[in-house]
Amino acid sequence: MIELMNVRKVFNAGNPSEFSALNSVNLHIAENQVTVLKGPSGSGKTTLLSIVGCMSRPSAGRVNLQGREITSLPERFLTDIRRKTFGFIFQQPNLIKGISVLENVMLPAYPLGEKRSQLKIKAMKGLSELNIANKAASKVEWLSGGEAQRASIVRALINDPHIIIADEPTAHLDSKLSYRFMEIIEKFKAEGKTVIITSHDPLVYESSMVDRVVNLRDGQIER
Amino acid sequence: MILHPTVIANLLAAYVGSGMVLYAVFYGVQILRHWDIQSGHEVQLVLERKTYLISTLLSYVFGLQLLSLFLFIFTADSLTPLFVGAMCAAGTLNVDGFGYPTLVLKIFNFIVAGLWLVLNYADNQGYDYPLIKKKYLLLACVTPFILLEAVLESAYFLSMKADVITSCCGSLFSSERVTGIGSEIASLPALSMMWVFYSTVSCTLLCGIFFYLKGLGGYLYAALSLLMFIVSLVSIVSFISLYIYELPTHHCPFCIIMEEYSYIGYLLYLLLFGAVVSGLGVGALLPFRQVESLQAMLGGFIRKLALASVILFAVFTALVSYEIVSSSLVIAYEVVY
Amino acid sequence: MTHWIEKQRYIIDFTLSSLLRRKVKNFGLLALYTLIVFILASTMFFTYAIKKEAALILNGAPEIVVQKIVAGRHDLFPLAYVETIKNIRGVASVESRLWGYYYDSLVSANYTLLTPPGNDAAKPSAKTTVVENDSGGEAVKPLFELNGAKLEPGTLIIGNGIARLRAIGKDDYMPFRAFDGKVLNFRIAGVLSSQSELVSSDLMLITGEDFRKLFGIDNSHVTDLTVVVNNPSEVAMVASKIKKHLPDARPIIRDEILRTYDSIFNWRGGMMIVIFSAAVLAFVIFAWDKASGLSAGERREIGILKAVGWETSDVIQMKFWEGAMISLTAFFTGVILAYIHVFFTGSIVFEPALKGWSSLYPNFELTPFVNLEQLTTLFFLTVVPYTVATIVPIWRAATIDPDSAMRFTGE
Repeated sequence: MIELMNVRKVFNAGNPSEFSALNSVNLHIAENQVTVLKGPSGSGKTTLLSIVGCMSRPSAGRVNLQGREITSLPERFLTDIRRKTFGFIFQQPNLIKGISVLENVMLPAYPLGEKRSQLKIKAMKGLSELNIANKAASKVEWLSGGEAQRASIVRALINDPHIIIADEPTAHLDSKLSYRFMEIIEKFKAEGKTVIITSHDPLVYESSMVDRVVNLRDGQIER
Repeated sequence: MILHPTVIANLLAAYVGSGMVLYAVFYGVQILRHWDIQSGHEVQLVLERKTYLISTLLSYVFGLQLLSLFLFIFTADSLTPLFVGAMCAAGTLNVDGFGYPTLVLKIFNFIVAGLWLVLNYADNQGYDYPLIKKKYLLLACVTPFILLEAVLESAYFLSMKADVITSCCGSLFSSERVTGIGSEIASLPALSMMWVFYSTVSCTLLCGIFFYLKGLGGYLYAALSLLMFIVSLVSIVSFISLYIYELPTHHCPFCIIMEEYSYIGYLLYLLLFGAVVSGLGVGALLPFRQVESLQAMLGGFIRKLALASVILFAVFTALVSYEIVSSSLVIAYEVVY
Repeated sequence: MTHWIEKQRYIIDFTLSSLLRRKVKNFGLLALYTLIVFILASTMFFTYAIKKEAALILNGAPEIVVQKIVAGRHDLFPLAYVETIKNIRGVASVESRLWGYYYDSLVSANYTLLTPPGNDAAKPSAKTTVVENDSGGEAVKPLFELNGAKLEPGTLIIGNGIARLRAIGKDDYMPFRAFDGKVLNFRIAGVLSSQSELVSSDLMLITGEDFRKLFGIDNSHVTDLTVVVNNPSEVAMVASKIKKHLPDARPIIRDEILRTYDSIFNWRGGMMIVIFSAAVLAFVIFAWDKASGLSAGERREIGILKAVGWETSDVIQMKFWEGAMISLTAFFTGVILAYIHVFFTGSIVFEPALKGWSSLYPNFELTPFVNLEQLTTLFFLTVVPYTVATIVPIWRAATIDPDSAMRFTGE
């Protein structure tokens, strides 16, 4: 599904402050599995996740996504692949304040130019699946932490992606909400989606539904 | 120099446009020198980001070029009362040697900027930037012309001197100006020019439709659309204007954009400019049909361009024909001037 | 295509709501932008309208005015010349005129005294009368309306400006000091209508007889001549013949007056714009600064948009629409305000700078005159600089890394 070969990512190349976040990472992520990237902060988890999720390009090495070489694709095409293939759940809900929950959820679909009526139906369906349909018209500021996270999950799913990427999803949730989150992940897996999570929360990486845990340290994968 | 608000606006537009193009070409040259699509280095990432800046700049330049073309004619028209013997923009442009060259260059630059955007659009469809070097080479080639336009335009406005009353005596004996190329085109016989116009139209439209349906004769169509553009401009001077003004002697190609003729000229020129840019775009893109990353979409895009060009030319012709038919002017015989 | 339109609609909707969310920040920019448009638009509307007014007025003027020049100065015109000019082929009729200025030290104002056609004992008259001012062709006078008042020896008809300034009206008396020091007292027979006030504000109509008495001009001289030519295309030819036959005469053609008048107002309008260009420049720098100084909130928002799948060019489009909305709002508000300012409130702010100066200030309403050329010029002077100033900051904002959203911690 996703294959990383000798991936390196260097920041500030050529400057005295040059620092390499990832060093020759080789990784294969299988389809319809839940993979957890585990490691201390600064280990390169987020950088790796952003390369896997087509958000940034590696300085060297190759990335294959579903058999297609995507390393040298321009940003324009990477974005197109990304928004159709990946759904992102961030550490913070990262919702845009001042507009309604429904609009926030529909945001990723705007550049695709789908008809508004259809898009709305899709968004409302997603919201009701996570029991926040009644909040659709309210502003983001009014949501509780759990509701905000669920709204951001609905947003990640709006373009019906194959792969869900979650960056430290439970960092700001209490245990009860974290369990609820893992239940949602289980549902994704049952639907045939691939899930990639970074976390150092045992509640996540020790969960029974996780198929594989990858340990990262200092930009390298620990065996 | 005439310190007229519109003149200031013109010069501002010319300098701003040149500035933007210079800025764009500066990064364009960097791209030409350092571009390496395979690399993931920061330099390459920065250059890729610059391409967004350059295409944004060039789209603005294109828009500015179109607007300033009309502004230029407007200005020439509004300065008319300042010059002895000038009846409308045509006369004002003849005030010194720089008026018409500026106008021609403006039209040329507009078309080339349009072609650049067509090329840019096609390039953005390919995942490996297949046309990037050609695109920026074209940009580098156009830049001198845009700068030259700014220089000519400044020269035109700066060397202008209004014929005003001087303190010692009336300036009334200023020499009458002789009109240049305008009068030669105007003296082309209207009726035969009409034949030329309508035969060119038929050839162009037929060729365009044939290309749209069969995909053959694209270069011919591009050439014909350029020819059609020139023939149309000459026709406007030679006979179309006569029908619009309903005067057998008024040949001005500029007055038709004025209020008195309900701004019909804007429509005519916009149709014509749109048609020639898309028509030439067909020719510009044809050589790249076999490029691997563009194969999937380029054929369709070229056909769409051809169709757009054909439609614009057809609407132009229809509009002209309507003007001729509804005009109260009848050219029954050749008027000899 | 429909996808494209739908996409633009989404982006516009989103832009609008994000603009409204930052009302306070955008309001300052919008207010300043509107002010700049307002100032420039007022200047332009004013100069164009006044130019138009002058052109309309001049349509009624005679084709040629002939003056006599002695040592480069305007001199009295000998009536003996009239026959010479009448004999030039193409001349339809020749009229003599009597006019001049009188300085009133009491109110520090210059009056224009004029003998209406038919009131000079020395010469018969014509239908149109025009006073041509020597000082740069600035105040070209049109027809005036007599309002039914009858001008007799010993009486005056005065313009509105004089009536206002001296607070006098019909049947009041006005003293004048003649060339020889004698005091002449004239009765006011009437006041000119206010319609043509731009040109008749300081005008004073007087009979030829009284005029000669006041200024000591003998019967064989007049101030100047007006010449009517049958065929408009022969005007220049007739003028050159006058010059040839009478080397000390100075023929002035109407079109030349128009041209001079035009270029003076162009120059004034242009000067104002050059002065205001400093303001435009300041505004452009402000706009640049505003556009590049994105708040943390805005950066975050763009980061989120890019992370959830917006492309750089989508963000650029969003910013383009944002600029377009701000520009159009400011442009139209400014233009409408300027329209009201110039044509309904008599351009309180700019009058002194643009209209000339005199204690006899004309008080009139300009006929609204706005055309596409003015609007295009305004657009170029305001919207284009703003737009260009924001391109680079927009691009910078749009190229924020999409993975920056992953690195946001804490609200």
